[in-house]
Amino acid sequence: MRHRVLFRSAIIVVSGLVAGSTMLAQGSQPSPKVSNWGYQAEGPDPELPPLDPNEPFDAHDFSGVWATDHRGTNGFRSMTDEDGTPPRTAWAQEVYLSRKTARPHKGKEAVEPAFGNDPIMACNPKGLLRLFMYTDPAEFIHTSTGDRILMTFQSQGSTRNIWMDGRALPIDPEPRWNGYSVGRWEGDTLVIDTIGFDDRAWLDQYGNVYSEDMRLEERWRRVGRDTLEAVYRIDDPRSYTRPWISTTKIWRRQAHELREVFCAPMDEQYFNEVIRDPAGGVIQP
Amino acid sequence: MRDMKSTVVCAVLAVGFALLPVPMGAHHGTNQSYDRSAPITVEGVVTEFRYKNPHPQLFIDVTDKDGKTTPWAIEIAPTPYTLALRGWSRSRSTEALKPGTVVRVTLAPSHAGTPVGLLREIVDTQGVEILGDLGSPLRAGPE
Repeated sequence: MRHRVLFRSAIIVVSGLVAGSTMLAQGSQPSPKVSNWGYQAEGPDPELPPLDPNEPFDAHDFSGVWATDHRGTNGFRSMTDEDGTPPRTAWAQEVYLSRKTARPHKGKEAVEPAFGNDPIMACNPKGLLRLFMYTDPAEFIHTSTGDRILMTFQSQGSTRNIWMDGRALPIDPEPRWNGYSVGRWEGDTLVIDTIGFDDRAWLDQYGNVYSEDMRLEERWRRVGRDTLEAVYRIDDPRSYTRPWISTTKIWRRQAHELREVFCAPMDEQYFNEVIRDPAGGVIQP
Repeated sequence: MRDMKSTVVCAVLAVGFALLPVPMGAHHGTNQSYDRSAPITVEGVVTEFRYKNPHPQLFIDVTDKDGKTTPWAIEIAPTPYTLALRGWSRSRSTEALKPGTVVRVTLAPSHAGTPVGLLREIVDTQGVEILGDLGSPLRAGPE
């Protein structure tokens, strides 16, 4: 009798598990398909499918094209607003002041762009953080083996590997514009640790600083079908007297695929010659 | 004597301009060059349109009432990527701005007084807007 009760209970439990997983599989919709550009001469603009707020989604699937929502920042795109910048060390302050930009910022005069020294205007890499701060979108691609997640940025065609295979960070990394990243899941939060940065990249368009010793931690969550949230934390005692933790960044799904946007030196140089330099009153010999 | 003095003045100016530092392609934030508080409107004929990064460029010839023609170089803030998102693909934009097209352009002129400006609005002879709403890029836009 007891065995029969146990057997029936087991059947019920197993059936429940099977039914539950089937429902879960049916309920977790695949991410919306990324539209192609169509190459049509005129619209329509790609659109996402209508969003049902109750639509289930896989919190561990970041597949797709996303762009940071910079609305509400008044154009100030950095870790935090200006007042949130931590105190710089003497070294970082010296480097910061040496970086000439036309972008107005507290504590530093803007210069005529013809006399700035922003390295990206010679098509040097933006570096990981500045790519985060930019307006162009990025795409997450999960490999089928699960060993890594690729993050490809439209700007400059830059890509980074987020290694998900449990490896440790390198002991003595060479400087990289995008650093070396390893990731892990903490519940539904993707935690990414990155070290090994090339300190010649500007953190943002204002010339904020980080050193080769910076440790960057990102915490990403998918909070809806079309929304990611991310918080970036910089630990860099060489540059800042305390950690710099960003505001929560919202990344919104884009309906279209990434476009190719390399920085071609020939385009940049031509633009300088015909627009930037004359606009600044600089006459080429 | 006056001619010689003029010649010397011109020579000095020429040398002075030639000695102006020429930055090696590392400038940034072109918006700073333009006076957005005092836009002007000119009518001209398109000579060239480049749908290219970092920002598309429009070149027009503007002829004043005295018959003097000045070539203007105009920066378009939204990138090709942004324009395409708004429905202004390369072919659509290039067709609308092919050489010989007469346009009326509102722009923020350069502080330096050179014939260079940042595009605010461009319409054809029928008053139809080309490239869509360009007002928003005049706020802090992509670098």
